Amino acid sequence: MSKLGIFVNRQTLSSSEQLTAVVKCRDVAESMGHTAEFIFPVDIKKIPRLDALFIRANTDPMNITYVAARMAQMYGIPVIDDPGSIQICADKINMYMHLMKKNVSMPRTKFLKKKELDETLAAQLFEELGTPLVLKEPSTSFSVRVEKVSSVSELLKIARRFFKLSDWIVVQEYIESRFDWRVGVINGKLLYACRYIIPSETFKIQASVNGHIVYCDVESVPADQIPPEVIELGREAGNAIGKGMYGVDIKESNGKLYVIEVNDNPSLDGGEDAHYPDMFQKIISYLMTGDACSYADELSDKVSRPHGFEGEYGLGAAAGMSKPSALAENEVHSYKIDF
Amino acid sequence: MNKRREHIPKKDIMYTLKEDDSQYIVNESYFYKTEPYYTIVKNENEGIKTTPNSSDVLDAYIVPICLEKAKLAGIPVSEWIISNQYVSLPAIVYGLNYFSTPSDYFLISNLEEAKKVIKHVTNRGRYPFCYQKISDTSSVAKCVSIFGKTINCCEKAKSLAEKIYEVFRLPLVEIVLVKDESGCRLSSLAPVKYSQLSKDETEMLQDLLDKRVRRFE
Ligand SMILES: Nc1ncnc2c1ncn2[C@@H]1O[C@H](COP(=O)(O)OP(=O)(O)OP(=O)(O)O)[C@@H](O)[C@H]1O
Ligand SMILES: [Mg+2]
Repeated sequence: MSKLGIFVNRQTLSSSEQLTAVVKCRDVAESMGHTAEFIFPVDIKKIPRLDALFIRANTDPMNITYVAARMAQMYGIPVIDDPGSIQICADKINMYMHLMKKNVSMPRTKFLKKKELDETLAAQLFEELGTPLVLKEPSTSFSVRVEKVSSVSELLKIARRFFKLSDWIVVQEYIESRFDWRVGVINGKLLYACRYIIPSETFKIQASVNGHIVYCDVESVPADQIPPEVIELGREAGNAIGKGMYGVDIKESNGKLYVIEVNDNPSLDGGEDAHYPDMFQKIISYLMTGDACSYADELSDKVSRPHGFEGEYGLGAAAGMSKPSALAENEVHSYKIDF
Repeated sequence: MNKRREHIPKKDIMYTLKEDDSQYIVNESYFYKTEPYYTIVKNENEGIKTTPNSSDVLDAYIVPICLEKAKLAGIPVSEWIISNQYVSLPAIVYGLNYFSTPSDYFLISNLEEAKKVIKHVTNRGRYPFCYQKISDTSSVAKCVSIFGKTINCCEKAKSLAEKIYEVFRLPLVEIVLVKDESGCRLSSLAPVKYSQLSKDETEMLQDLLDKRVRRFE
C-alpha cells in the first residue's frame, strides 16, 4: 500500500469543480489500494514521507507549489508536476524554446527583449510576422496577459506594460481558429482529448468582456474521433518538455496544426475526462509505478520499484537519500496572526 | 603602481565569461524572468553549459528550497517552517511570492512586530511565508562570496562559502547567516549590488573578470 499526497491550496478548494475533482482523485487512489491525503502548503515537510505527490494548485516557480515539487524531487518522491516541467511550462519563453528546439509545429514566434524594443524593431516585427500580432507576458495564465495588437503604437504600449513583469516577452503570429484542441498526455501517451470552444466575443479561451468573465465550453472527444495528427502533435509537444502530464493546446488553421502552448498542471475538472473514465487511475498508476498505460501491470512493477521509476522526476543524485525521521511539522506555534 | 582595469563592475551590467563551450554569467542578481535568467535559459536550450544554471538560481533565492538543498549537502542550516499565520518568537521571516526577495528578511521578537511584518510579507494572508526560529542571543551576519571566495569573513563563513559555491554555483552571492552560541547556520542566499562590495571585494571581482575564467577554476 502506497501513500499518495495531493497538494492543494485555498484556491483549489474554493472552486467546487476543483474540489470535486481532487476528492474524486483521492477516492480513485483509495479504490486502487493506496492511501491518499491532502497536503497543504504548511504540510510541505511531510512530503519526504509520501510515496508520490500530485500537485493540484496553480503552479509557478515563484509560488509555493514549486517548493512542494522541488521537495519531492530532492527526496526522490515521484511528483506531477515535476519542478523541471513547472519551470519550463510556467514560462512561455522557456516553453517555446523547448518546442522550437524539437521542431514542433507552432506559430512563428520571436522573443522581444526590454532593452531592444523601439519603434523600428516593432515595425519590423509586423513585417516579419504579419498583422495582427499576439503578445504574451511569459507567466500569463487564464489568458490574462495575452493581447492582440495591430499597430506599432499598440504593440509598444502593451509591451511596456508586460516589460514591468519580465525582461523578455513573446511576440507571435496570429492564428485564426474557432476552437483549441486540448490533448492531455502523460509520459508521452494520450491521456484524454477535448475541444475548448472559444467564446465568440473574444479570441482567447477565457476573457473579460465588458467586465464579466467569459469561459470556453469544454467538449470531451473520444479517442477514436480525434484526428491522429492532433494526437501525434500533442505527444511530440509533451515529449519536448518532459515525461510528466501536460495539456497541449493545438489550433488548426488552413489545414495546418500549431501548438499554442504546453501546460503543466492541466485542468482536469472541466469535464475533460467525460470519455476517459480511467483518467485518474492512469495518472495515479503512473505516479506509483512509472506506468501510465496498463493498470494490470502495476502490481508486478511495484515490487521492484517502490518509488516509481527513476525517470525525469526521480532526480538521480538524491534519489537514494534516506528519508528524515523526525520532521518539524508538529511544531508548537506560539502566536497566531489575524489579518 | 596603477594597474589598468578592463572590467570595472558597473550597476546593471551583466558579464559573460566564455571558456571553450561553457559560460559563466556574472550579475548582481539572478531573479526569475530577468535578463541574466533568460540568458542562462537560452544558453541551456542551445546546449551551452552555463554557470550558474537556471534551476540553481531558482533554488538559491527560494529560501526553503535553498535551505533543504544545503542541508542535504551537509551545510548547517537554520530550521525553516512554512506557515499561513502562526509564528513563534523570536524569528527571522521571509516572503514566498513574486514580490519577495531573500534580501528582505525581517527579525521579529514581539507580537506587534510580528503582526506588521507578517501582514506585509503575506500581503494580508494571501501568500504563505517562511520563518526560522532563532534564539534571544542570535545575530545575523552577512558575507559576500565571489566564486566561493570571501574577504575579511571568519574562518567558519569562509569554509561555508566554498561549500555553498560547490552546491549552488552562484558567482556572486550574499550569504546570510544566523549566529549564536551553538554556531553559525545558513539562513538564506541573497543578491549582491556591486556598489555594496568593499574595496577589496571589488578588486577581487575585477581581477577575476579581467583574467577570465581559466584563472579561478
Ligand atoms: N498565436 C495565437 N493566435 C491566435 N490566438 C492565440 C494565439 N496564442 C494564443 N491565442 C489564444 O489566446 C489564448 C491564451 O493563450 P495562451 O494559452 O498562450 O495563454 P495563457 O495565459 O496560458 O492562457 P490559457 O491559460 O487561457 O490557455 C489561447 O487559448 C488562444 O485561444
Ligand atoms: Mg494556457
